[in-house]
Amino acid sequence: MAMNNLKYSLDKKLRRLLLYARIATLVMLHYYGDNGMLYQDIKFALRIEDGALIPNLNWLKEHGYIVAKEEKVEGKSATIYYITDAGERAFNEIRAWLNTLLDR
Amino acid sequence: MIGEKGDLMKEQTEKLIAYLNLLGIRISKDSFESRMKAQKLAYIIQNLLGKRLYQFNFYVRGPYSPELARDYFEHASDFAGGKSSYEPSSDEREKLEHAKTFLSNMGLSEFEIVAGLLFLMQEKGLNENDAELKLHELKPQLKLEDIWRGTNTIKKLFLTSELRDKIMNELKKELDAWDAASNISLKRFE
Repeated sequence: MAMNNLKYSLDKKLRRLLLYARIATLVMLHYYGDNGMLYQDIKFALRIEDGALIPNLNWLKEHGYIVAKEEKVEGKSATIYYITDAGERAFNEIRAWLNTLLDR
Repeated sequence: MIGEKGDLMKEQTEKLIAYLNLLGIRISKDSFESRMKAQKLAYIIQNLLGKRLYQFNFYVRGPYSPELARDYFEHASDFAGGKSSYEPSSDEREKLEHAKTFLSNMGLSEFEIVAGLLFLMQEKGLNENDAELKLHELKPQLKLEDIWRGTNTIKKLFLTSELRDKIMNELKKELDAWDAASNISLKRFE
């Protein structure tokens, strides 16, 4: 299969997750699980600007892969992101898809 | 001890809850700050006591153990209520009583700095200065003076009575030698 066609072997909906900010956020939130991650930690880990991160976080939220909750951290209001069950399923499907590519 | 879900609570979990009790700290799974504190505290405690309770890796916020995270979600009411049947030894009590003075007043960012520095020193074998620089490189948002303060806290934390006595004995030996030398000098003027 030509390299260009590889991504088409993945479900169309999941393909839209294959953007750096989206997939990297999902991977990190999968790792942190119920602990969640602060917005500034995601931003720092991905080394991207608000302008590139916020639309992708909103996209993940709108598609039900992540949720955001407001909480006080060290006396200040902070946004904490958590992966949802749908996010976990998508993460696992993408991981399985990547494994099949590696096995080729 | 049987945990809230009816499963057997692991020995390491029992120990950690008992140690947290000695520090007067309770962990709530519903608070991000409390969960992060639990991570950093567990790492600091196991280094203070020289016991490996959990496996930690260095992630965005410093030392982090997914296994510990599972534990405080699975045994949330035990962590919140400080329920443990483990009896700390007198050595553990002494070390944690000493540490309580510093740990009970620390904020989340201080915990992150202290645990981060400890991780870089213990797991990566960096010396004090290199650990400070590495932490600043990994977390440039941290102020260097806060990192230096973290190093001082580590020194205070690890200054146990045993170590303090050893240092005082060394000092006493040195002072005795100075006293003896000054007595000899004084006799010359008599």
